[in-house]
Amino acid sequence: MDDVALSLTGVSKTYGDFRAVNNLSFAVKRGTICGFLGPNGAGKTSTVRMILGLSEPTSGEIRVLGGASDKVLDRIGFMPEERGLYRKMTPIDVIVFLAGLKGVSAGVARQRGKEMLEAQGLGPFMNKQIRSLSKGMSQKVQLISCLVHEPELVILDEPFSGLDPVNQQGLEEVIRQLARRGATVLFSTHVMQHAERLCEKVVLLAKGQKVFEGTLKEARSAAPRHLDLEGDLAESDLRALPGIISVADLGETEEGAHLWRCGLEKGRAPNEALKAAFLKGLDVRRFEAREPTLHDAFIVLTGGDAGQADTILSESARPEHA
Amino acid sequence: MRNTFLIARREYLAFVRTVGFWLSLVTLPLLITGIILVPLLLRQTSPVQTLSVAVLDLTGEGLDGDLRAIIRAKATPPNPEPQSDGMRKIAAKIARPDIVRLVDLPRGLTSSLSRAEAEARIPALLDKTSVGASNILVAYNDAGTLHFDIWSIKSQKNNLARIIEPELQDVQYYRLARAHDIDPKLAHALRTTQAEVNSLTRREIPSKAAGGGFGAFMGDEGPGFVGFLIGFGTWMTIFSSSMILLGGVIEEKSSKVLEVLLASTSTESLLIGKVLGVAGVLLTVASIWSVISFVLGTYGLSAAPPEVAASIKAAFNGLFSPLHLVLLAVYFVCGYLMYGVSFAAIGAFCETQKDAQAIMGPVMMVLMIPMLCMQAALSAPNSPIIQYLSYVPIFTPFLMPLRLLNPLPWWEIVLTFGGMLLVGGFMIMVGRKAFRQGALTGGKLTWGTLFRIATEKPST
Repeated sequence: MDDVALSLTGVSKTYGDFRAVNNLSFAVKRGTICGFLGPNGAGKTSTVRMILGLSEPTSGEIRVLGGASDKVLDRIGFMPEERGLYRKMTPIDVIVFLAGLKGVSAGVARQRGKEMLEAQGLGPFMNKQIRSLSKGMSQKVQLISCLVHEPELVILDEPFSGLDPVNQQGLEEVIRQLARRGATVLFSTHVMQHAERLCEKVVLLAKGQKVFEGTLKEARSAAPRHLDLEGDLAESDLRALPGIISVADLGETEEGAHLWRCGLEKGRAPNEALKAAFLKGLDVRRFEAREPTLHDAFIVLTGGDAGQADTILSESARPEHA
Repeated sequence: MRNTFLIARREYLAFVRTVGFWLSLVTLPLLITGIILVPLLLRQTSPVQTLSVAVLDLTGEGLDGDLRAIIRAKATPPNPEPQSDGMRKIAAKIARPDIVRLVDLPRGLTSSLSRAEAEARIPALLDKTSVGASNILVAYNDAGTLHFDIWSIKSQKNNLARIIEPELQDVQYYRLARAHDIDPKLAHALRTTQAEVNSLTRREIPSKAAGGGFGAFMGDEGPGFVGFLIGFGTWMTIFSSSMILLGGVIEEKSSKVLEVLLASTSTESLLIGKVLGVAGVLLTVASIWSVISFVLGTYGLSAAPPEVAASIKAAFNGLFSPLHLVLLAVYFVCGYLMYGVSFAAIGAFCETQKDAQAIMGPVMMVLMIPMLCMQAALSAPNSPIIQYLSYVPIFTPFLMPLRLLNPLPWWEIVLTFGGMLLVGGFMIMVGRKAFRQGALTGGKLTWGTLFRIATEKPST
């Protein structure tokens, strides 16, 4: 059996003069969790729709579970960014209906649906109309609808949006269980922390182009390590330290001291700069060697676009998204 | 195929489970039944009127005896036929006549009065209940012509006139015959003999055998009339079902379900499933209404005089051949698919009913063309304008039923089917792509969008 669940080769999509996706290639191995990251307008949704066969690529080839996506729809689970369910149907009826479209018999779908609803704490609501459920509850129903047919490939578009921190944690566990069961998960998100906790691999997209594909470790290594220094320090003194390539003023601390973030040259250790600082007699009251985060990597990999960086920074700082 | 069925079933259940569906289902039959029954029931429950009639002859020609004889004759109606079954009893009860009774002239009225004197006294006399006469028939001669004034209390106005007018005309006629010394037998023969005038066409010959009357009407006008009803019914059905489809798709688009569905099944399954689901709703409505119509029709026929019932049955039996029914069904199905798919595709571009209204304006204007033509087609189903318009595939499903019940050359049927299949296939192809595009984008439907959709290469 092919080890690759999903592969895109030179895929582009244009709408009139606008190129939404440009020469995109990446592959996702079976049984892994892959984060599909990028800011709004990066081309994530266009790519997901092409993977699902909802729209045709202008050029390039997409292989899903060894074939064309329209031939394997029954083996794919999809949760769109814009959630949608029949408001006048009950959760259990929606689950049975959507599972039916994926080839699961009504009896089996009903049994599985009941179990999954109960596991998510929605047992008492399974026969109430969806319009009477809260947004979070509806989202859980949507997730169950997407998983009830036990798909081999699960595509989740911004799955954490609209969930409170407890439910976000629950969803993370569901995604891990899917991977343990052998399913491949591709999920898009703005929130880097989720990707850091869940993914073995990430694909970064910016302005329709892939800017990175690899493991989390590889992604982080693309960003410089930082040395945070606090004290009565001058920027010029910090720039003169060995291995320091950038200095950012993070403002005053509560104690009235100044906090600086110093970017380290690739391959240089922080203790080298620290040692030099002490030898020079600089007023260093506190220091911290900071490992790069996925967020840092994103900024570097997307070319340090301030606007994008701000978006990601602000999004990742929030526990929940509307 | 399985997914098409699942989607059709969901559409069907989603609609028939609503209170609105059941309300609309029973409203029309109830309305029609009410329109028929309420006046009849009012008639049945209203008391039988007793018309007490006094005769005042001011002609000076001694017509008093003849007039009193007329009233007396109406006072003893012929024995009614014994009614054996329920519906006929009800019909006889509803159709019960007023009772006519001859009474003496009220005091104060004599044949020696002048017309003016009599007219001055009558209103006051009618107001008195003790007088005993609720109607006073006044006969007088004005410039050689007999006049009959029937004075009545308000609640009996026109009742007596309806009953005795033919006989009063006879009085005038025989009076004139006597004045010209015409033999009474000859006068009677002249009065009662009428030539039979018939307006016949080739098609009326069998219907004459069915007994004339309604049968004759159906033989001559029936095909056009029934064709009009079928054409109108087709228009109404296609229009209302298309609006259901449109509304359903708009709801799914606005609630973001369409993307989930499209990721689960093919556009064809989704589109055809929806169209079939609504067709199921139509079939349910049609079946229930057919049963109600059959029951009411059967009872109606049982209440009608046997010769009329036989005439109606014979007329309808000769109207439809199995071939007609097949052709009518195929025209309907083609029209339904053509419009259903198009309306569903339009719905995919609309987030709200307001969006849909903006698009539906021009569509409705086009759809009104066959409606406007149908009335003209009722009298002349094969006029050139109707004939040529029926060749236009988007009008064919509405206009061909009008023409089909009259003899048509085969090439016209083949031509119209070919046209509908061609345009229907094109609409399904464009509708499928438009549906997908509309469902996945927030774009508006424009002529440019449609052109792009129609001309882009087919997806694999």
